[in-house]
Amino acid sequence: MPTLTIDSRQISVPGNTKVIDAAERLGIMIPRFCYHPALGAVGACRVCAVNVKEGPMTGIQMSCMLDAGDGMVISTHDKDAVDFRMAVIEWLMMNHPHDCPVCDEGGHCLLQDMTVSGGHGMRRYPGPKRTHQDQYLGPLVQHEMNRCIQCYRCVRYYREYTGYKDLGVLGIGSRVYFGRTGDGRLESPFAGNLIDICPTGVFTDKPARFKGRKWDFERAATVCTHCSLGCSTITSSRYREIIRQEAGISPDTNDCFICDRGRYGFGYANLPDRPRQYRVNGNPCSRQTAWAKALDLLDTTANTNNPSTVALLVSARCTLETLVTAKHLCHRKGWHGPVWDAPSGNDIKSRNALDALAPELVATMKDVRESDFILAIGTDPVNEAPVLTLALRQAQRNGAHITVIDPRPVSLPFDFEHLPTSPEEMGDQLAAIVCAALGGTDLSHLSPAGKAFYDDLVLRNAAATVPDEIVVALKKSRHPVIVCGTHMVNEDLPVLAGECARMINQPERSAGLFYVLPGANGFGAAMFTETHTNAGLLLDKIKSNDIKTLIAIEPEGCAHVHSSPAMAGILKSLDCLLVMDYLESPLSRAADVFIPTATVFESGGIFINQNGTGRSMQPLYMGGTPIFQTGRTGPPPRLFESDIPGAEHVPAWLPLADWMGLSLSPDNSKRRLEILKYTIENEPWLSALPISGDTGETGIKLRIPNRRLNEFASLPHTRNNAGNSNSPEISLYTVEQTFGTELLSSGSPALDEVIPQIRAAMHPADAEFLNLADGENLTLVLDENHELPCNVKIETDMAQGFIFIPRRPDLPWPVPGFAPIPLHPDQIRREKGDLR
Amino acid sequence: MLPADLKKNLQTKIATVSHPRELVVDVLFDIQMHYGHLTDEAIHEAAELCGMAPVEVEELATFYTFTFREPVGKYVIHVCDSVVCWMNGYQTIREYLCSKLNINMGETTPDGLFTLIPVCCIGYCDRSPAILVNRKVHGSLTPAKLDQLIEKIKMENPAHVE
Amino acid sequence: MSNKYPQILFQNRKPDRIATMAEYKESGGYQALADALSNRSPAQVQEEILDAVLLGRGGAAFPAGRKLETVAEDAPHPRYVVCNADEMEPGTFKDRVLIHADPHMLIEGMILTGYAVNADKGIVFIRPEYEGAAKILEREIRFAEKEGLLGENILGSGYTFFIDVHRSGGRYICGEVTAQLNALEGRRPNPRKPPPYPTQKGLWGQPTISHNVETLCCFPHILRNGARWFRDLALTETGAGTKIFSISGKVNRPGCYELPMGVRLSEIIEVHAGGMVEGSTFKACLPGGASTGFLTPDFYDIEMDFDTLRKKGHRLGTGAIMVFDQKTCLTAATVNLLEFFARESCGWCTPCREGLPYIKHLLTLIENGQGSEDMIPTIKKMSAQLWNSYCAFAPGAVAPVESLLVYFEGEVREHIKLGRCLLGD
Ligand SMILES: Cc1cc2nc3c(=O)[nH]c(=O)nc-3n(C[C@H](O)[C@H](O)[C@H](O)COP(=O)(O)O)c2cc1C
Ligand code: SF4
Ligand code: SF4
Ligand code: SF4
Ligand code: FES
Ligand code: FES
Repeated sequence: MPTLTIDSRQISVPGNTKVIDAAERLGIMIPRFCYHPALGAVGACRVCAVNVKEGPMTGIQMSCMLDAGDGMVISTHDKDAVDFRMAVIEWLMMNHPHDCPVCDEGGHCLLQDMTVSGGHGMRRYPGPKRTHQDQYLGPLVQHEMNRCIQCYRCVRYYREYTGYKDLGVLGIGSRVYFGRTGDGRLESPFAGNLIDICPTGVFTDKPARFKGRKWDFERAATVCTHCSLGCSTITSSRYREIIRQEAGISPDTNDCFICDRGRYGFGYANLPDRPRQYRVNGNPCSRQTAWAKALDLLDTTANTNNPSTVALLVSARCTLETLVTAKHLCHRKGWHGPVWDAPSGNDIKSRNALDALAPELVATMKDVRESDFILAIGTDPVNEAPVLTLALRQAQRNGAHITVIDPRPVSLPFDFEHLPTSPEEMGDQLAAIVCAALGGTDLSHLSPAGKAFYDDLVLRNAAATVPDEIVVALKKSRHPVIVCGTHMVNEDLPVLAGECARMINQPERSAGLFYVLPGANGFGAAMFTETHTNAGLLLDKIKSNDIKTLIAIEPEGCAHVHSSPAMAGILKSLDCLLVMDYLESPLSRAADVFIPTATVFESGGIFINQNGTGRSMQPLYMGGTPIFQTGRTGPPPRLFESDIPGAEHVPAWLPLADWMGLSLSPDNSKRRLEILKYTIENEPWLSALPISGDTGETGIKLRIPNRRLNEFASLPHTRNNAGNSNSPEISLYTVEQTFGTELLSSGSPALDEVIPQIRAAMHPADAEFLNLADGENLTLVLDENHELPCNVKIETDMAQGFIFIPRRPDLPWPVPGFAPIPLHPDQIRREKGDLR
Repeated sequence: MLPADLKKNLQTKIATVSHPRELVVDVLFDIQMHYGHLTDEAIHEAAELCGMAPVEVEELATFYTFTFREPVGKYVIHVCDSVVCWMNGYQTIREYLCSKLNINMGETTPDGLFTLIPVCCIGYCDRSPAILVNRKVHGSLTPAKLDQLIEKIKMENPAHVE
Repeated sequence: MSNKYPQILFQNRKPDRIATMAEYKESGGYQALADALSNRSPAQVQEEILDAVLLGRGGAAFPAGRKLETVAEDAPHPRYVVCNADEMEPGTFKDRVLIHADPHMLIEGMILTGYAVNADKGIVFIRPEYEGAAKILEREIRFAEKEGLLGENILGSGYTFFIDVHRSGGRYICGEVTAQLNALEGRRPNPRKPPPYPTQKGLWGQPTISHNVETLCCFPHILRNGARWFRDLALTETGAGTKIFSISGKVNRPGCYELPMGVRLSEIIEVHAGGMVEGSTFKACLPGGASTGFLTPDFYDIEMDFDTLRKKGHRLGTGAIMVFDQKTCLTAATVNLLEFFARESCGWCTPCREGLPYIKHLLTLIENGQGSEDMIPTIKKMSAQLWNSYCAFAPGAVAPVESLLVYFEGEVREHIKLGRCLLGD
């Protein structure tokens, strides 16, 4: 711990701390442009100069490059240092266009701040300015090269941090240019971070252009709800419209960056056709009418039928408050549910995952970044949990060995090992790698049950072969992490993955376990929905008239397959359909009673991410129809009302609490705390959450009740048998895609342009068998009522016997839950005429 | 498109080194020789040959003095404007060339034969003022010598039109 | 031409052609290699070089022996030797002449350096203007390989070493060692700040020794004749060896001369370079390339070695002497030098990338008679601030400006007062 003196104040810092960071600990913010905690120091901009009075090298030094050393005496406000920093700023401003009034960065621009605080207030340089031409970089990021100060952050972020390769630094000297080889959309789904990382207005948020300055916005720290990672975000709204999002900083989660799905996915909250009114039988009505009607219907059904004929459907986009309230409501009323509206089987897989997630194994994204061996199984990071890709990339940059076992054509922006394996065989591969690595090592850390488990695995996988270098890398590793998905896996794989992590968690090696769950609150949904039922069973029960009333709260799959004839038939047999949502869907349109709910931006709420960290959000704004949509932006005369138009929505938990008879305060902010208190007090394992709802920057790690009675209890069955390898059938799997499949963001207009064409990925051998060529149009006949037009994409790096189609909510799926569909070659048709 | 034999040659050369990208400048020079300058296509071809991303090649092609991203004449005349040549009559040489070819520095003659570019000291200060014509040095220049040089090239390229 | 001094590096120099391998061998070439491979350990080779006080001839004057020592004995393989034949410092052309004179001297020097650090591969990094020299080297390397002097199992000693020639795309910054490593890897040639030092993690992350052509050419002679002999070649106590001076500008016989370290400037100009050209008198010279400061007539008799110049606040640099006469405006000359540096700045760090065009602009205004008095302190201060740039490029770039304002401030102010250049046309 070297102790040094900065501006006459002493501080002790850990070894390897840079002076710039040591000063920051003292609250001294040394100017910086090129330095960024996530990118490290490169010493390019020279604006962080300080004067070293005592130390191995005295004089002007760059504080970002200088390791804090014992006994150093440093001055940040010494004249030489101040003068030098001022000179640097003057140099940087020589060619700057001084166009702050029309620059979107203005107001939160590091260059503005440094120029003003650095004391460079007058232009001295008499020469001309050099200018650049801008490039078209796609619909999300705007380019304005003249504002560049050549700090190299963008390229270092883009190329080094994320591993994508279509942005570079061109030219030399004072003409260096940061851009692509030509106009074109930035390829990285993390390109939006350029906006945050660029200290000037070169890269700005294109959809948010000219929509406001930082001080115009209502801003709040938020949590991204577009996948299970729960990245930190900062959301800005103005005139009742969400305008933009930036990455928040969360060392345990996203570090400093988010994906473009998360950044631009908020558009659903602003949609002009967002349902903002109560409806009875499809007709707009007052809140009182709808509320009364809902009660009436519920009373009637409860009186005429058994309460178990009422079912409650929830999803992973519900807040924790809603899920817990729903659970207790069901229990109290004897209703069926809550049922998790998840893709087929993902509910069970998620529960299995949580069962296996032993507290000592829980890995965060930080652990992933710092690990030296990663085995990702049944997951496609870029598409299922985008920012996980960046965590893997950091591990890879530090030398970690990375393997992905997955049937899909997984692509990552760096070198890794991909074993394209069918879901049935993934477990064997995993077990074989782990057994091979453990073979001959001391297994005394395992209980007798663990030993037996291991022996059994060895027996079963004696025949499986895996690449040697993976085994060698695992053997060498000290911090391996097993990442496991919950979609492209069979039910037992999450358990096997958990047990494998436990086995390799040896004294000399601390292993981590990282699940990717479905949805933002998949964790909460898995914990608080009923285990003995699921969306498919629910529909069966409706068909068989065992369920007569359905209350759908912010549903996912069910809501969006309703356009299918099968689904319409099923819903007809219901007596009563009650839907609460902030999205319009076929289901909401068919509702007898519709209650508009608040988005998380309006209601706030808690989400539990995939590793059990609870993160709360405060409400950002009141909501209501955006001013630009009300048509009231023109001059008076106007109608003056005290109500906010279109702000009748309520948090989804409010009607539930009401039906349960909870008496909540009429005051919004009070009742938010009341429901939180209720939530926490009624679920003992949530007790770590603060009643104030403030979970802080990093969230609260919840101790997961380890529900598995004994570890290593049962050996999961691996593959039943090779089975259908000879059958001509091909399995169609619906898969996630970065853009276009996640329900909320796929409704965001900003992302429309980046959603790729629908393509059916298949192995060359299958394509050959089916006589299909890459790029060919074809129609998949899913059943008699559902046909899916798409385009062939031949992928060499995937397992044989599958077709992968993006799980887009706007496609005509026959069943909710997007279960795999076996396709006979007859069901695969060329655009014109049958195959063969 | 690169001619098959050139591509083959380059591939063979690249196959002999442990890091293909170490040869990227050589590859760029060879491809430039073929196209006359580095076209967008050339950048992509070089990238593919060297296992690099196109922008990584662009980063170099726009950095170096002897890689041309814009069309140049068949003969590129680099006129040294560094200090020794400067004091020994660079200005005269430059003005003479500009008026003789009737172009400014940085321009190409309409017949596509000559391009004039200023260049930093080419290491022939003992024979200043010096120029390079297609990377071949000509030193101790006088207007008379330049006349000879230009005329010779013109004679060798009688029907040069582009 | 009267050169009474022993010719070591130039002993086989011919006016019209390169020395053949046979000629090189005849003059004792490759004896040092044979001797070292059979009789000396790498450590002994290092010791001899260290003893010889061979200072780097590429401009930085770092002791070659000390550099060799920083390659750890257990450092990983492959290890590289890079020969810096970029030579883009204006005024410098000695390396070109050396390669054209006696290429095998360089080849032997590289092999010996390789042997001293147990390196596996040598690479000559050469500027594209020197295509002729590159071709010569490639050819002579093949000859050496054929004779077993290079390649697998050199002279049956078990030591294996290869040499490749790598052409640059052409930029001054590529001469800076760490930028050169990036260039060799097909990356943008921005410098890399140590640590790690190239001798620990250089080319492709492997231990790498970089030396200038002239430095490498000294190796065979030192090893053949001994460190003491080498030191004694110099005329001064502090100097060692000979130095190739490349002289250009207003002298009668511009060119390269091999002279003992410590020879007086006056002697170089008057005796070896044939004196000032008709009608010219000595006004100043840059003693070691564009990135050194002006030497005024006060220094006319100075002993040209690294130490003497350093003690006077000057640098011998590459030993490229550019002579200016009384008819040359040094303000204009400095503008020209700044134009060079501003054009060649790699663009990585702010002071150099932006500060050089800034200073150049102000000095141009002054030269054109549009300057003002306040520009002089601005230029002085800014030049001093450029020392805090990322690499040694910028401090070199401001060396002429700084010395201009030390020794010729009056001349500069004259421009401002008169509103024009007295010497300009
Ligand atoms: C901007 C810059 C350009 C340089 N150019 C050259 C060069 O062209 N040739 C050279 O040998 N050294 C050059 N050097 C010096 C090298 O960095 C390095 O010191 C030298 O090659 C080491 O070899 P030596 O020890 O044999 O001198 C340059 C340094 C800088 C800062
Ligand atoms: S574009 Fe922005 S991030 Fe990139 S170098 Fe310029 S100022 Fe820095
Ligand atoms: S990775 Fe997931 S949580 Fe993070 S920003 Fe993207 S969608 Fe949101
Ligand atoms: S001083 Fe800076 S800009 Fe100049 S060459 Fe060195 S690193 Fe590049
Ligand atoms: S922040 Fe230290 S040099 Fe840029
Ligand atoms: S200055 Fe022109 S060749 Fe050196």
